[in-house]
Amino acid sequence: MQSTLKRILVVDDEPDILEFLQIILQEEGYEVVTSDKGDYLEQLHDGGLPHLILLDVLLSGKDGREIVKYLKSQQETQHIPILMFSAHPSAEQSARQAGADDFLPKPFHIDVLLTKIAQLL
Amino acid sequence: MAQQEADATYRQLFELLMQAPALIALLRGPHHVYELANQFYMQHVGQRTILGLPIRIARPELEGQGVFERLDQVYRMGQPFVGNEMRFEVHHPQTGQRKERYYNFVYQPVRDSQGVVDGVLIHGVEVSEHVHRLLKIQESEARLQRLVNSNVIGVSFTRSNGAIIEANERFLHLLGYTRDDVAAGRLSWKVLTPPEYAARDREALQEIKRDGAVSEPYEKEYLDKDGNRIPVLVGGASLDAAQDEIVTFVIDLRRQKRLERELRAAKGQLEAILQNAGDGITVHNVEGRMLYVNEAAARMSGFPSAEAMLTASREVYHQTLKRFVVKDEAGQLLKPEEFPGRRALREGRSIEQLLHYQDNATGRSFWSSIKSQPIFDEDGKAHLVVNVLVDVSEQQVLEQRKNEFISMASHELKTPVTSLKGFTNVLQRRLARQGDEQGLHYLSRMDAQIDKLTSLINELLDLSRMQSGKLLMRAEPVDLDALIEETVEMVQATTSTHQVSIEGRTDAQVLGDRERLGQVFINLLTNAIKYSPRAEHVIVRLSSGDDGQHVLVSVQDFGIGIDQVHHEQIFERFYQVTDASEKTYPGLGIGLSISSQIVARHQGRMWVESYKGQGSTFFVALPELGADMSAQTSGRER
Repeated sequence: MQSTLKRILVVDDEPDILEFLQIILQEEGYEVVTSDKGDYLEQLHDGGLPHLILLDVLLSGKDGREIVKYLKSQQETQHIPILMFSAHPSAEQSARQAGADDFLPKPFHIDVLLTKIAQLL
Repeated sequence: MAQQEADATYRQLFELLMQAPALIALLRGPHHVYELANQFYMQHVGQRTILGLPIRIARPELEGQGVFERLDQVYRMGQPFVGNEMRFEVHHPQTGQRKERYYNFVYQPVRDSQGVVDGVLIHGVEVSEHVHRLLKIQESEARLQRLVNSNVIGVSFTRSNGAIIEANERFLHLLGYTRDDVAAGRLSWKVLTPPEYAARDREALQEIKRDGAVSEPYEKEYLDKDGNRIPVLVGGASLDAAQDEIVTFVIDLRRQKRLERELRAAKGQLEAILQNAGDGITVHNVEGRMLYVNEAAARMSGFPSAEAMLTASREVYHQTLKRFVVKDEAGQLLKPEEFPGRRALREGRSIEQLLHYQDNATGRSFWSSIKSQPIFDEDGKAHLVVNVLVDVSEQQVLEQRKNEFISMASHELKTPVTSLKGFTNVLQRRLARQGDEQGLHYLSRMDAQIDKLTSLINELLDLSRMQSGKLLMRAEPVDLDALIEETVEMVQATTSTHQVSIEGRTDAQVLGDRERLGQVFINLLTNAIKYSPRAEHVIVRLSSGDDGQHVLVSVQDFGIGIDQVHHEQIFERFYQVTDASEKTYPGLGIGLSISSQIVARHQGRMWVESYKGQGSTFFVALPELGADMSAQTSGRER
């Protein structure tokens, strides 16, 4: 049973956002891993790779777009779909240029996010 | 024989008298009957019949002029009468015209062989011309005297050797001398004239002698009694060449010279003010030639001084100006013909624009607010343009900081809004599972308010990006009809009170950013609904413009309308119609500002037609995309 769950990694520096996303995504039947830092990603290799990453564009101390570039350049992680979100609607272009598979401006309705996740998985 | 000779002599004498150019007539008897009158006399009376008639009957016109009385007296007393320059009024017998004539007359008594007076011989010579001439001279002398005495101008009488023999008060007062000085012979041209004017004076003197009378007036200076220089205008005329006397007219130029000096000083001051003004000032003519530049403008333009800029060769001038990369507020490169000065001349109106200058030679850059004002000639054509350049770099830095702040603030605002919306969604899902309909209703209202908050934040963000020229717009062919249909459908879904209908179609494409254009129409439609709370309809009309190059979209509501006075300003940032009698509506007053800027970035135009209480119609005109253009420009970023 555990192995069939799709694992989603959520990275945002706002704990409240991590919390409500975790609640809803778990209700929707996803396994959710959260992180408030980009560093977590570099240690991904150890415990099973996620099936999808939700990533904030601007993290404190780290630019989400750099993380995308890195992950998309690594063989083990380049296949993982990444959805970026940002409070800057105009960040979409640069996010996609960096390699993000999709983009969602903040704030968003959860139904819109769920639809996009379903499409990406 | 002797008798014959005497007769012949008498006849000759008689003939002579008859033809003499004098008035000769013989009057006989106490009633002065004309017995004889020579040809000249007959002409004088207009060839009237006078012979054989008493003078009182023959010459009634002489009544009242003393003639008859004098004749009576000569006849009675036997003494001749001699009258010089006697004035008569003669009127022509036919025309009745009165004429003033002067005569020298002799009335000579004629005696018979007994020595008794029995007639009067009249001998008269007309001297009218001589008298008139004399009168004229008297008159002109009187006039001159009046002129001299009136003291309107200074007058002096001078010998050609320079001695001043007479002068009026004005002249004396001007130079600080008295009549005694004149009488004592202390005044002469030489004493009054500084040496450097001696040559000019001699010239004038020759002029008077040569041309007989008058010299051209000329400016010179006199020395007054204390040695001060007095600026004057002098003119001279010879009164009488034989007597060697010259009259000189002198006009005091002190006041005029002082005014000239003050004017020069004021002009100098104005020039100094302009030159030292902190703002740059230039003047160009319609051919583009620079006529004036002050120091500030010259330095802004890359020249060391105004002098250097004005005297620079064509080549240096253009080479220096080419160092600058000039962009408008939105970061678009400015073409030479788009500069405000050129536009002001072309369009004949004042143009104001904010421009960014980057000096490629020095790396220096600055923002300049330029105001170009055309100057019109008598025919109403703009022939000059005055440009005032104000360095607003500091303000721009502040503006930029403000925009960055708004941008940052709205980003910061969105983070809590995202959490709010997220947890609202969490609750909605929970209550939905529990079947709490009422709780769900409350939550959906919260969610809608959060969306409103979000769109307000987005507007602020858009505006600051628009201001800082960061709002990127795509330039792709957009199917206008489809875009409008989609937008109307979307807005229709949000309202249960209004019916939005579309009339007409454009069948056209425009070049632009689909999303941004959509934003414009959403703004117009939501406004139309918001400001017509009691109405039920909103009409969107699509048409091709009259010029065949534009498409026109209008959005009409039947709401509160907008007073004419607000029509221009509603497109300004943060402008809201504030009217004591009007209900106020929520919003930041930036939706129309953003919309009109988006339209402007599409080379379009936006305006409103509205009357208070009669609804409003907003118009958007966009350039229609030709089929050939769409191929080349598709997908290009603007």
